[in-house]
Amino acid sequence: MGESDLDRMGQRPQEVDLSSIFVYVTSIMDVMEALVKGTVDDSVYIYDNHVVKGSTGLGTQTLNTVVNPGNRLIWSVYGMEVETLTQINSISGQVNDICDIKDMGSYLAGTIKADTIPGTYEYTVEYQLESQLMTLSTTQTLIVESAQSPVQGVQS
Amino acid sequence: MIPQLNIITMINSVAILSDSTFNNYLYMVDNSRGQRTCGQGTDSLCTQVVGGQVLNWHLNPINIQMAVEFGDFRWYKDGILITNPDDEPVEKSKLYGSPTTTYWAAIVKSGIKGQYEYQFQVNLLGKMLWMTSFPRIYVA
Repeated sequence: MGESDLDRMGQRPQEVDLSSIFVYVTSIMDVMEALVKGTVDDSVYIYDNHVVKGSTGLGTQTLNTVVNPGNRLIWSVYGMEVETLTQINSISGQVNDICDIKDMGSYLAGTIKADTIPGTYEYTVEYQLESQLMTLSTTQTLIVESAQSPVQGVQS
Repeated sequence: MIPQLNIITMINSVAILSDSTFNNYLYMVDNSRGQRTCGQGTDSLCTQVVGGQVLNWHLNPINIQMAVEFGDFRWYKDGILITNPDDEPVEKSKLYGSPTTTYWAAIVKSGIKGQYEYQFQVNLLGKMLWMTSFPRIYVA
């Protein structure tokens, strides 16, 4: 077998350090609509940057984010009306067993523990909208794959 | 008073650069809440607007460490590129009111109705890319 460009670079795919990857989970919130209704349900769209790894549910309220042990997760929220104040107040659920989440002010961050057992871990998000706290009724999940899992491509 | 309308675009800039295609890595939402609004969260958003309304486009990267900017905008009617600015559905098809190019605003012209498609460029680390989908506005 001939030597590939990656071989010549000394970095075969299986040698890529997956734990060095940041994973961003970003919500877009219709703050005004949520404040009027009194709930964030149906007023938030959640995305991550791991669709190429197999994440599903992008743009919905049930995001399933594929991650690996060691990944650094960043949770943040944008308000559709940029003048409004919105931020993620807390994250609760199973994900706290595998990730020590810290409030960094404008976002929450945490690293998937290296010894995390592959599996699906649920969590719920509590948002702050101006002076109100609202919890999204649907759950999100982190799907933890082992560090040796092959990269999944997006089917076009 | 007609409320201003915000159109938020999130992009996965790393994936776009990696694949050299937008390929469903671009997501749009708005706060129009109109009856003809559809495609929320996709790259083919349809936004209901009215004449005289100010539209504000905002561009945000999902990968917050990567800066992204708007490039040019272009408009279509029934799939045909509009080359005469007088035929465009918006006034001030240029940066309006803000020094940052992650924000682009325009005013819907009065007296027009119907659907107009548009595309914008995204500047990713100096690489200018036209989006491949055709979001649209519907002027009621």
